[in-house]
Amino acid sequence: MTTNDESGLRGGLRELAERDATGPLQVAELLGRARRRRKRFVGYRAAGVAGTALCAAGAVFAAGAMWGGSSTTTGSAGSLAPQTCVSTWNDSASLPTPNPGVAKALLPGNPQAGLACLYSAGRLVDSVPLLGDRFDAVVAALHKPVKVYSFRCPAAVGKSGVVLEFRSEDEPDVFISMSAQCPGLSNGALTQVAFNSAGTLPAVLAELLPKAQQ
Amino acid sequence: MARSRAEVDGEFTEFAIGAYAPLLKAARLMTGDFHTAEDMVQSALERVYVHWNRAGAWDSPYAYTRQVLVNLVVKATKRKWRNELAHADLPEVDVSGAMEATADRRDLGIALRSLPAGQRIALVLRYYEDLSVEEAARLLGCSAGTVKSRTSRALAALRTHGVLAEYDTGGGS
Repeated sequence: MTTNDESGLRGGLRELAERDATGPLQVAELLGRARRRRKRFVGYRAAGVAGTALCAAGAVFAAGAMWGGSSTTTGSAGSLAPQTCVSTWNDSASLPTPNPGVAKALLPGNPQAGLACLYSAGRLVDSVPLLGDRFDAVVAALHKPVKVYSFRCPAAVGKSGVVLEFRSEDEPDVFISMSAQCPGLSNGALTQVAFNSAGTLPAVLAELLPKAQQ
Repeated sequence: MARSRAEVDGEFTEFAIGAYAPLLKAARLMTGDFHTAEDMVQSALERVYVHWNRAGAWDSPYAYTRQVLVNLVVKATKRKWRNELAHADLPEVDVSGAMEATADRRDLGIALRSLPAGQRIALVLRYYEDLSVEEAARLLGCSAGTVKSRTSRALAALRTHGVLAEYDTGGGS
C-alpha cells in the first residue's frame, strides 16, 4: 500500500466520521441503565450464575431439599446459597414463610435471585432461573399493588402451576405460588392475591406458567 | 480507600461524556449505521461502568472501553448477517460542484459498508484509530497476519470502488 493511500484513507475516514453531528450523551439514562446492569451483575455473581451460557442451557441440577422432599437446585458458587425446587407440590404442602414481610406484601424487599419451579399435577416438570431483564420484569410485576379477592377454586390434590422462589443476601427467602387451576397468587401468608377481580396475570407472570396449563 | 458511589458515578460520568463522541465516531465507521453504533457505544459504557471500581488498574479507560466496544461490534456482526449488506437505497447526492466533496465522503461510506465486517473493523482500527498492526490484532483477538491481510483486501476493494483514487488526487489530508 502506498503512503498516499494511507494518508488519503485516514483523511477520508476522519471526514466521514465527522459528517453527522453527534448528539450529546444522555448521561442520566446511561447511568440508570448502567446501575441496573451492575445490580444484575452483582446478583449474578452472588448467585454464582455463569451468565448467558447457563441461561441458554437453562441448567437446573443437583439435589437438596428446601421445603421438604427431594428437589432440584440451581448451581451456585457465590455467597448466595443455591435455590432449589421440591419435587412435589400438593395441597398438604403449604408454602414456607421464612420472611416475615410476606404478611404485608406479596413480595417484600428487593430479591437478587429468582427461580421458577414448574409443576404439573403436583410433580416438578421444569425449573427456570429468572435472569436479567426477565428477573427485573417479574420482580417489578410482583411489586405492583395487589388486592386479596375471594376466588372459588376446584379442589386439586396435585397442583399445577409455578412456585417462584426469591432469594437475597440480607433477607429470608420468599415463595410465591401461581396456580394454573385457580386465579390469585399466594406467598404463604397472603392468599388469593390478584392484580384485578378477574384474576388475570401480567404477561410476564402468565408466561411462566407451563404452556399446557395456561 | 473505598470511594463513595457518588464519587464513582461522577468520575465515570466525566469519562463517559468525554469518550462518547470519539467512540461513537469509530463505532459508526465500524458498523456503518448510526443507530447501531449509538446502541453499541452506550452498551459498552454500561459494561465499563459495572467494573469502574477497578478503573484505576487499567492503563487507559478509553482503551478498555474501546476493547469492549470492538468485542460488541465483532459479536454483533457475527450474529446479524444484515449488517453485512450494503445499503440498497443510496443517499441522494447533490451533483452541483459545491457538493462534490460531500459526495466523495458518501462514496467512501458506501464502499466501507460494502466491505466484510472483519475487513471494515480492521481498516477502522488501523487508519481511523491509528493503531499498529499488533495493537489491532490484540484488540481483535487475531494474529498480526490476519489484520494485515484484512486491511490489504479492504484497501484493494476500496481501490476498486475508486474512492482511494479520489482521495489521492484531492481528498487526502
